Amino acid sequence: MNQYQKFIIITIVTVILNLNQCAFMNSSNRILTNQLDSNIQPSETYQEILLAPLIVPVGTASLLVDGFVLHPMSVVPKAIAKTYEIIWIEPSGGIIRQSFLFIPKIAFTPIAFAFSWLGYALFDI
Amino acid sequence: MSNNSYLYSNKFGKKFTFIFIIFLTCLQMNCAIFQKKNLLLVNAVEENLIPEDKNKKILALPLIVPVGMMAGLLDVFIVHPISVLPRVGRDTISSLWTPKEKLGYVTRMGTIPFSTIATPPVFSFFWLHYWLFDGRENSAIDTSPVLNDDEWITSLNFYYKEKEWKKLEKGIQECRGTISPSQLLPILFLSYQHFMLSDKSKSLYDILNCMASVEIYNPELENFYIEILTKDHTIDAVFAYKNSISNYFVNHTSKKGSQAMINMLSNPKLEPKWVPFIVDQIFLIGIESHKTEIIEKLQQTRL
Repeated sequence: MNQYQKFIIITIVTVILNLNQCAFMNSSNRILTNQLDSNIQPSETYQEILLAPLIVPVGTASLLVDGFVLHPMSVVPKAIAKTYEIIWIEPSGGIIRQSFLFIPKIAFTPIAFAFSWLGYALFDI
Repeated sequence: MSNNSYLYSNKFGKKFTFIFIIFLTCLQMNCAIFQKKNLLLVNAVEENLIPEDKNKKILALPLIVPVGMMAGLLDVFIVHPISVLPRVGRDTISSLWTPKEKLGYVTRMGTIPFSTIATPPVFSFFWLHYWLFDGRENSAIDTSPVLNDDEWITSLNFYYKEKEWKKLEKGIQECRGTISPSQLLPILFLSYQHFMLSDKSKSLYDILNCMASVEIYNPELENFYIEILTKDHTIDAVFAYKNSISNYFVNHTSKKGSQAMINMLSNPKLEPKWVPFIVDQIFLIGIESHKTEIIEKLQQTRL
């Protein structure tokens, strides 16, 4: 991938992140960082400045863990519930139709789960 | 066909496609360079170098045309891109470096690397956007410089006089609470009347928000609040700003305001959601006779 392609991709990603409300933009989705925020509260400006060299990497790591590990893990039950709701809940039709649809439903379950999970993990929905 | 032929090379194809897409998008999106106000040098050439006399004009054409072309190129590739830089900087700072909500210390510190990484692409994106495509109402030449308070209030009066409603709406959104009420309120009253008639509820919110910045006692504002409570209490914006209106009455122990609220209670068209609020506020304002009136009415109801 050359420099030009990288630039285009970064620009597009940035625009998308700005246009859509990303999950990590919502403070309720930043479990670990919120904990750190509530425990580390320097009262004076000089304390903020002195702590910055330590807190910048810690905060960045914490945001990354929140965005890529904790929040995606926390939405797994929600994604399972959504998948169940989309595919399995309240089946329509008789026993023959249900038997006919059983295999396709099984096939679609991981796909629906993947989309729901990605949706919940990435966006604030 | 030679493999080395530039004409058919992949590089040429990409460049051609890129330019073609930009050209098409430019046509579709009202490109900045098609806006007269974005071509400063071309305008200057047209205004100053073209003779009025027809014969002189024809004679001067061999000189004017290349000069105009050069001016156009300078406009598009130098003057216009440079002129949008302040706005690009402002937008980049506002998108990446100005949090929309109050953030904790760790979050603020943790986002610094992300904001730093995102700054160059976001800056480039805004720059390209304003340079190439932003040719609509907000010209690429920065038409929204930071105005001082006097300039801001003058601009609002000008927009009202010239019926430039969109600019007026935008101006009111940048409300300056530091301006004296005698300067600020008249234009807000007029704007309220206009936007009320044109049913632009969003603007009513902005106007009431701006009025809420006035804290000192002003009889005109008191009368205005009474009038909108009496006449416009069905409007969502008035209901949304009921607290700031009522606070004004409370802070200045407004007898007239309290009386207006008593009158509202007698209005059969008053929506029930107003009633507990009004009763509460009458007691907060604290005019004894009005408090007694409410208590007596309640006792009569109970009897």
